Amino acid sequence: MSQNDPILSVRDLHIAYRTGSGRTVTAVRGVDFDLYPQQSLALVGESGCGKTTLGLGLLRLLPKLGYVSGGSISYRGPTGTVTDVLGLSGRSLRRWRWSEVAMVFQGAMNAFNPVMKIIDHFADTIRAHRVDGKKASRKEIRDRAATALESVRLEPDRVLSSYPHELSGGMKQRILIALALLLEPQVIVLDEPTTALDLLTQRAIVDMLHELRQRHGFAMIFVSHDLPLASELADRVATMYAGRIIESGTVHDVFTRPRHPYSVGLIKAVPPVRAGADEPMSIPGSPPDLAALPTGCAFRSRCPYADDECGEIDPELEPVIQRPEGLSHETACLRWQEVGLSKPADREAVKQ
Amino acid sequence: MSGLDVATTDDVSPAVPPLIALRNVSQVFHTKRGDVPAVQDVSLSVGAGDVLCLVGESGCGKTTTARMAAGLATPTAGAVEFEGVDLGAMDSAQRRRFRTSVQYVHQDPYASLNPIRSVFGTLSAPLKRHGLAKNKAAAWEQAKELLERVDLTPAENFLPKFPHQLSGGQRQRVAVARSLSLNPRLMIADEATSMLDVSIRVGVLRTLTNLRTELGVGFVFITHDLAIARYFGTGGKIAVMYLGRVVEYGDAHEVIDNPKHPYTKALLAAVPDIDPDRRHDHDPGLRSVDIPSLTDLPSGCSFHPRCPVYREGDCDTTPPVLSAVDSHREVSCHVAAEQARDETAR
Repeated sequence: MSQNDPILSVRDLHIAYRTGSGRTVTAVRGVDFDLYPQQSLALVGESGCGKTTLGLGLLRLLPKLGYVSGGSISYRGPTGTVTDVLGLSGRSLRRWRWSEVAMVFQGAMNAFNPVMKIIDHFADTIRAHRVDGKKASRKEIRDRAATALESVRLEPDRVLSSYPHELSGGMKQRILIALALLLEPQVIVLDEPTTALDLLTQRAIVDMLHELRQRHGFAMIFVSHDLPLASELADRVATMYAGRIIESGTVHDVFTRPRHPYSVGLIKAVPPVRAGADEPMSIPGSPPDLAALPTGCAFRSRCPYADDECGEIDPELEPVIQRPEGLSHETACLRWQEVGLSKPADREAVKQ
Repeated sequence: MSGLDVATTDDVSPAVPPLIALRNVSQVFHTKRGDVPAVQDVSLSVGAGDVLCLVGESGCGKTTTARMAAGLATPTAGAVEFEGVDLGAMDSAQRRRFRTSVQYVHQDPYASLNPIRSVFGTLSAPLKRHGLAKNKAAAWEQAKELLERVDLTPAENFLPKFPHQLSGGQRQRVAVARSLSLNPRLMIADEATSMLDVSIRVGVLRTLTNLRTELGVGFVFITHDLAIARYFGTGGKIAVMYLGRVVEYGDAHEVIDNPKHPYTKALLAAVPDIDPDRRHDHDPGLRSVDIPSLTDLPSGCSFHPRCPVYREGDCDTTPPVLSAVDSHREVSCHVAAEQARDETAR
């Protein structure tokens, strides 16, 4: 496989939910991105921006009322064969999922079956996604689970015979990562992998993920509302708003030279832990109702830069800096040339 | 313990007792697996318009401490005083005044509001219950003022709404408005902003800060987020808790900008930084990631099995005592105390 081919290509992806009243709400509205081998991409944004829906959609794990309403997802395996992910079903989908792309779900506390020992969770995972169709022996399950647990620095003997309630949150989160690694996937999607964990546990998991990625060479998609954490875990960031990617680029581009007013707002809203940094500011207003989107740019009612044109045109992503392998800096803002972190007076000046 | 002395000598004239004072309180839960000392020998106080941030990892006792301050749990040892009166010795009128004067704001605004009550219903219930509104029209006006206090305007539009029609930030503001309905003197906020999106968190914190500066409401503010503690604690204090004890106490900015206890240092080193140029340059240096169990506490200093500056001999045998290392800081650590002594000697 060439290093220059993306492992995952998403084009014009739309994901909708049926609502109780028979209507549909489109939660992901035309998302494009390429993920290259061994990259780490963070999807950031407020709740309801579509980041979790996108993550679940990539694995075809949408809840019952959700469905892909347009676009394509293609996966290029290590042998170079390309899989149309949306065309998979039944057995072929089950085999692809987890052995090629795995997920670490949000909420380590609730992801386990409370009446099953940890070893049975591993056994279930191996059986459900087994590629060769053979029945796994108890010994095989134990050996593979032990290897996966050791890679997340847990003692297999102690953990495998435990029930979920006997383990701490940090241990459960590490077991979820071990379960995702079990079939040696090429891509791991992590949805808020450290939310609800303590600072020191979070730090240990961040360091561990870096180490595992180096050792196993998988790519990561990391869904989070926590910008500092995204900055630590990812090489690339895509900011989502109202179901779209509105800015994308390297962590350095987006977090130090953002070119979309929404990214600027999110960065400025984070209270700094260091002395001497700027006072945090919240973003006025709240995200739009996805069932009644305004015309033009969805962010304009909260945007200090918005003018009449923004009410007419819903901007597409355009390049700020061109780079290969998905690392271009792109933004979907008509006035991106005026937007930046460096001039805090801008917001007030533009308003007047 | 002297956390109290610092607060009383510095901030409050001796004639005015602090709003709330915890005096050597402990809370031991008796379970089948043995006694769990959730909080041990904690002394803290908050005066009018003051803020005390309690920070630490889960299980460190910060919520239990706050629950004792709110009178929701009775300490197994020590005493809680409200305006100088022991909660255990209050008569029914004093008790009633305490109940209305101290309000608790919970973490989850999705769970703390009744889903079948309108905003007006939620805000007017305590007004009616405590006879603060004569009739519905008066309650409506008072509810409107409460919403304006928390920046939910125009208030008329919000009063008829139900929780499901509100965003997370709006719900949390309603929860704060409800806690304000009885004109509290002290608010206890338990991770009150941790479920909110980052874009609105600062707005809710500003609202709370205004209550402090304009109405003189005192705050006990629990958070695991050190940046939030530094921001909201501006002008107030931070107490860092570990396994049921306060291990460091001082001015909020001082504690975060210049931590003295190795545990506080480790926590700060672990905070992720949004600036990618600063990533990977912070290793907390802990000897172990896992927190010991409260039912099987380590000997000596309970942080010693994880501590990067652990010294065999005293750290694993003698529990350190929270004591002043300078005029504004108290630390419970043998090594930090020795460093402070060396500096004074020099």
